[in-house]
Amino acid sequence: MTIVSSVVGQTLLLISAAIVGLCFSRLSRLQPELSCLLAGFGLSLLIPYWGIDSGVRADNLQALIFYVLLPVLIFESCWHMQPAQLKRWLKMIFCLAVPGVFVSCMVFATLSYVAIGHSEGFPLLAALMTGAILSATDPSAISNQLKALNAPTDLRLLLEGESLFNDATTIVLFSLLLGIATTGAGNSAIVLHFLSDFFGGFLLGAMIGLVAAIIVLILGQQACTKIVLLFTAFISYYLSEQILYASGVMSVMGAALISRYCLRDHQHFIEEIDSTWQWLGLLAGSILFVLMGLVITLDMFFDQWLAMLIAVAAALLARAATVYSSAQLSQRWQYHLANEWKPIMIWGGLRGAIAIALVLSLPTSLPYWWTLQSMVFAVVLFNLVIQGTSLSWVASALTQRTSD
Amino acid sequence: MNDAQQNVPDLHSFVLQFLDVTGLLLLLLIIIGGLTLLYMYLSDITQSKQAIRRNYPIIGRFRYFFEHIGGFFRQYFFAQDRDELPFNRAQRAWVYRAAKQVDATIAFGSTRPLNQPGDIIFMNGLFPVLNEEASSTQSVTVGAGYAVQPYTTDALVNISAMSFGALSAPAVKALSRGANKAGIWMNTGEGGLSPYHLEGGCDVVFQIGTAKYGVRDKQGQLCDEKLRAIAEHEQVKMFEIKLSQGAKPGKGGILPGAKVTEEIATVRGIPAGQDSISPNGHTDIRNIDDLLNMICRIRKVTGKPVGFKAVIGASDWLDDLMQAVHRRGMQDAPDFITIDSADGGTGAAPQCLMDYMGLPVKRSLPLVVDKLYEYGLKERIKVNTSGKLINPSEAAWALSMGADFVSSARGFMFALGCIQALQCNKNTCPTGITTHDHDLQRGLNPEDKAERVHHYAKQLNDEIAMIAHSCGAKEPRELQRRHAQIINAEGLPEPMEKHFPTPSRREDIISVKAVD
Repeated sequence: MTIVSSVVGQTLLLISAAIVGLCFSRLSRLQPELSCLLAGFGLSLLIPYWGIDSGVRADNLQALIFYVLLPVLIFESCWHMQPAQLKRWLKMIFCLAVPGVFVSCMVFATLSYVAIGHSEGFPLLAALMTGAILSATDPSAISNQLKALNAPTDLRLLLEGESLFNDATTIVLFSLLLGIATTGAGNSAIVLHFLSDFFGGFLLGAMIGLVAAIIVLILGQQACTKIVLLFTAFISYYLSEQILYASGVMSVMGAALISRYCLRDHQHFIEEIDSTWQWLGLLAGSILFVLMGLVITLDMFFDQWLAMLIAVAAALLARAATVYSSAQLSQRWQYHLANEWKPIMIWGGLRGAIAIALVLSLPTSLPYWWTLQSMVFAVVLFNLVIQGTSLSWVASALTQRTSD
Repeated sequence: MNDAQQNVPDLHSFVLQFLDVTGLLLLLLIIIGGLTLLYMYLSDITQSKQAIRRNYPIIGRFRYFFEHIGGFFRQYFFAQDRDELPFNRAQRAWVYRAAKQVDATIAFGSTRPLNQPGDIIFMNGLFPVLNEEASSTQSVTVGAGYAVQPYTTDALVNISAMSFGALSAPAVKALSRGANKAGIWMNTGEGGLSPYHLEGGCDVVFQIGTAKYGVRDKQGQLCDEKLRAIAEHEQVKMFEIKLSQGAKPGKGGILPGAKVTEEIATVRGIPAGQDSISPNGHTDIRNIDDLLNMICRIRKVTGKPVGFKAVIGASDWLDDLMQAVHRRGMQDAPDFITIDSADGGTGAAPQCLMDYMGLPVKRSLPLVVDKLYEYGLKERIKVNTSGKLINPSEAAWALSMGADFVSSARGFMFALGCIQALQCNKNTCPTGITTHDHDLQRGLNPEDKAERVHHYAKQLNDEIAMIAHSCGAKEPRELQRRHAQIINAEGLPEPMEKHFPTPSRREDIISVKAVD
């Protein structure tokens, strides 16, 4: 067995689990995310019987998630943003995605740290990391429900834009905290490090995006455009992480936004690219949920049930704090966040693929990784099973109350 | 190793490092610049929307850039005193100087060409009225004998309709305070009555627009209770039904949803955040009798004088209206008519309506005044007129033609500090007058600007009186058509009476048609 054949075999195994999950979702009308998770869980039960190696280890998982899945997810969500629409809510989205993420992280860390009250097993740094991971929202699981509810376009735009930008802040914040946790670096240069990561990565990505647009224009064919943009997504991440040691996520964002902007007048080259990113995004998201299903064990629920409950409650409160503080802050720019939107934004602030990706990438050398992982899984599960399914009910109850 | 390196090694290494970093940055900038140019070139030759960019890649883009900045260059460097529109620098400079109370005299002769057809020249008397002979401006009572609370004022030039919503809160505050100090009235515009209109203590004319903002029920119809509540304010002196406005006769106002804040929505009585679109006409006023019925209804509910505002275009309806007044009786007449010029224009409007629709006030004011004389209604129905009448000469002309009051919106905007940036429709007004952006509003201090509004109104009145005294009239309202001449096609002044003779009462059209 060469390395190539084992990598291909493991990839095919993951994709087949994702396909099984999608089929199951089609038949059972469960959300696709939940179905993939169940498929992954089923796979993890079957594997010992079959005696095959799923290849899921913390070290190669981290590389897979960061270098393959994240670039696809980030590039895809950036590509779908419409610059003109985004502009209108830009400052509000900024409030939610930068100060909002810090508020959420702090509120969650404080609440969970105090509630668990076990500073050896769950130090403040672990609480902060959990808070950071749980600040990344992903409205894709509820976008269909929002459409069915006839939610205002602006609200959907706000949730999507927020998700796009808070992914970036969250990932950079998380990487920073992880760096401190693993190397024990001092706190003095944190802010500087954060900024250079953030903007250095974005600048590199912007340059790559510009070059990508140039190549697309030179090649001038739709098929070539797809190749170039897919390559751009991966190379911008890789170059930023490997050469500049800056944030790869910011680099992917920069590349996606700049190339999208530069190609806005050339619709004929990029007409079909949307469908490409759609299936790639779906695949990457499904694989992440399969992975989550693979690593979930029933022991987790018995061992960590208290921490998990605390996490669910703290995550809801942290989300509420984000929404209300950002609404307050953005009043400076005369944004008016309708009161009936706020509960939908809180209840609809689901954690998805990014949260799973980050928590799966935790090195097992950290003593508290198990607690942290179960807390994040608990919130993601609660989001999917309870919040994701009851959103339409909550929203209609609210609209009835306001119209009375 | 040289001395410098030995003595201050830290500084030396810092300088080297600094040079390294700046060199790298410069290199980076050059690379980015080069890439951008390459992208622009490729983008230009592959796009198919703009022929100039396709045929002349990169340099073709300068056309669009220069077109944009050309406007600023023209205004500041190349425009002559008299060749800007809508208001030239001479007209604006007069307002600015009056508002700031700086020297309002000019030297070395007039820059105004005195031979342009249609321009007005006043006829000075041989013996001007001496200061001690001059009398103060005669007051006028609107709705005397017909409204429960008629309105008496000696104000000549008043603040024309601009809604709260179109104007920012500090702008409304400044106008309200300034109007109070100057003793003139302020029209609310169609956006309802806000606390800012009242806080300055000035007289207020409440305008009822096509959407009836501020006095509407949930279905958008006129609501008597709300009307009564508005009328209970002591400061609200008159009501004006807006049929059309100068900038866009035949089109309703539009306030984009982003500008409809919670506060504006409350004042207007509409939901926040949604576009505030007025219908292009009143759904309940479709003919002359509807109009008179509505006027009677509002006067009965409020007890205050009621009139209407319109741009004059087709003028057959004027006969219909005045015959209807004679048929129904004087109690049903409007107490005043506001004639808006077609070139009025604080509102956002389509260019075709702004440029081509309706009569300018030079034609429509004599038309309406003459009809009022012919039907013997000049005493009963007062005339208010507006449309670019921002300087004393223009206002004096309107008074001499028979207007009882003059209104100006943009004159008072200049007093507030407007620089004619022509961005009223964009929420980006650089002077804070027509924007709800708090950062831009910061520049507009209501206390200071209230003083400017006051000074402008006062200087305007003083100079109108100066014109009257030169012509031998004791006060502005004594100005007659014989006091002015109009320049004909050959560039020679001819008596105004020749073009617009003051008509007398014509019993034939009153009695004959009234019987029909």
